[in-house]
Amino acid sequence: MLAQIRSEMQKITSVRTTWVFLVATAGFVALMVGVQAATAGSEFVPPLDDPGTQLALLQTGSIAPLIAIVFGCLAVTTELRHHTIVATLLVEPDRVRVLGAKVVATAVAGAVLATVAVGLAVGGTLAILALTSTPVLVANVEVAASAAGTVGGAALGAVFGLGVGGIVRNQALAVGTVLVLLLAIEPLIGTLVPETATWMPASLIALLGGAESPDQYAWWLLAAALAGYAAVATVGAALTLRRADIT
Amino acid sequence: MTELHIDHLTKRFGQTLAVDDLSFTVRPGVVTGFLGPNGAGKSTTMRALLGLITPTSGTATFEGRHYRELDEPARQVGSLLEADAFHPGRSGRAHLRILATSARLPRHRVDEVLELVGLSDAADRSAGGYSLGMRQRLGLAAALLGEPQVLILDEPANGLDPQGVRWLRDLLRHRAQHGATVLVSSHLLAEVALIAEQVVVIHEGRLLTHDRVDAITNAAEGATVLVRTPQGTELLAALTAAGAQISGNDDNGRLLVHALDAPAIGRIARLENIELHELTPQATSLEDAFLKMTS
Repeated sequence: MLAQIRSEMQKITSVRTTWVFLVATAGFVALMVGVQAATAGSEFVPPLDDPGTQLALLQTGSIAPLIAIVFGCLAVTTELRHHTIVATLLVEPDRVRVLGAKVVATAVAGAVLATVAVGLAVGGTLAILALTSTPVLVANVEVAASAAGTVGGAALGAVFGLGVGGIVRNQALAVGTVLVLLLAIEPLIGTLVPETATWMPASLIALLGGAESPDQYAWWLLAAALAGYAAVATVGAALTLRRADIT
Repeated sequence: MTELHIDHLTKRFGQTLAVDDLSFTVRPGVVTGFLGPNGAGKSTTMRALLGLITPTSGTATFEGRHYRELDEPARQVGSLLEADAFHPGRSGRAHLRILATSARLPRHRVDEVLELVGLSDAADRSAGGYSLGMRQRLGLAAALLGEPQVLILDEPANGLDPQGVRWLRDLLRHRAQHGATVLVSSHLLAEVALIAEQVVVIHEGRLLTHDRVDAITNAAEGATVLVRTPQGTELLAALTAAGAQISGNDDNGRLLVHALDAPAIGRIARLENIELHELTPQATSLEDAFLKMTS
């Protein structure tokens, strides 16, 4: 199994797409930190010495789990699209084991993506505060919890995306499905049945990343719920791939 | 020394019957050609053997063991199913390293097979920029990575230049001579005739024949002989009376004689005192035999 995981990690690191994702995420986070800092203290945005503004800046990396979902989706559908799944299964015919290795490798990749995003957001924010001689007003423990939640959310999100990709199989359709699910269906269900809103994937990711909520659920409960989505999607992918004829 | 057993294999995709109760055995020590027109079921049979598709009924095994039951499949079986099965943005070397890692093969094997297939110079370029021949070589490198004793290759000569085809032919023969089991499908029928000793011919998912290449060409030949004579009318009458069928009778005295071999024609001509200027058995290519069988 270790060999398969290493092989999956090599797949991830040997294509440009991975680095494009990483650079694009880092660029987006840097840009957002810069924009938020530049607009702080304007008519509609509280100044930099406001704890809320600082927290928002520090949590800019919380976008990473959503990007990780798309990344996970691509991790499996790219194999199917380029038929590299044939070579993969000829070396390791146990499809569940292959999927298991992909789950581990994709989760690691999602966590790394989020770590870079969080690191950049926190580092950038602290640098801006230092440069403007603004005291840090957010507790370390709050920043750490938000960072850990974002990294964990990204790992689970990547696995969720992997599962959806494995079920749908067609790359464009899989990415489209994930985006529609998170950006259209989830808000719709949240509006129609408000009591379920907290327990939808994007909402869970946001809460793990430190978003404020009137309900104070324990982080482990939120993580367990997100892990449940990832597990269901992965089992669905396993059932689909086990039955599929690779033609 | 592994035999491949295809035993009453049937595969149906929806309403399409791709393979229909197909049975044959591929023995080690010889190169076996796998022939059939497009859609005959060759690739489906190979994929069933390699565990990529599930048969509707029947089995395709390595001496009774399914591919997934092999201890180390990459070290036992090398296969090439399609030339484009790689990520276009990944280098040839990276593609092979990924497979070597998964198969727990030493990294130096990657360099060795790249050298073997002549891709060392292009190994660090993106495989998406490879020519068809180079992609085919990359696929062959992947198949040879684990130094397997069984080779299952779908159209391996496709896209190779004449030098590459000769190299492939020598490689496969060498492997077979050292006890490997080699199954090679191809539409390049003349190439199969040069590479293979045994040939399995299928059509519409069914087995047409499984025999030695020369036996098949001889059987299909039907003793066609080109005869040239200045006494065409007399020879035509004599041969027809002896049961021959004549075609291609032209003004230059050339006859194409079927169903009688050259010695028999020579004897008849001598008995009838007919002068012959040419008596040439017509070699029927495997391609002709194949077309005859599948038409």
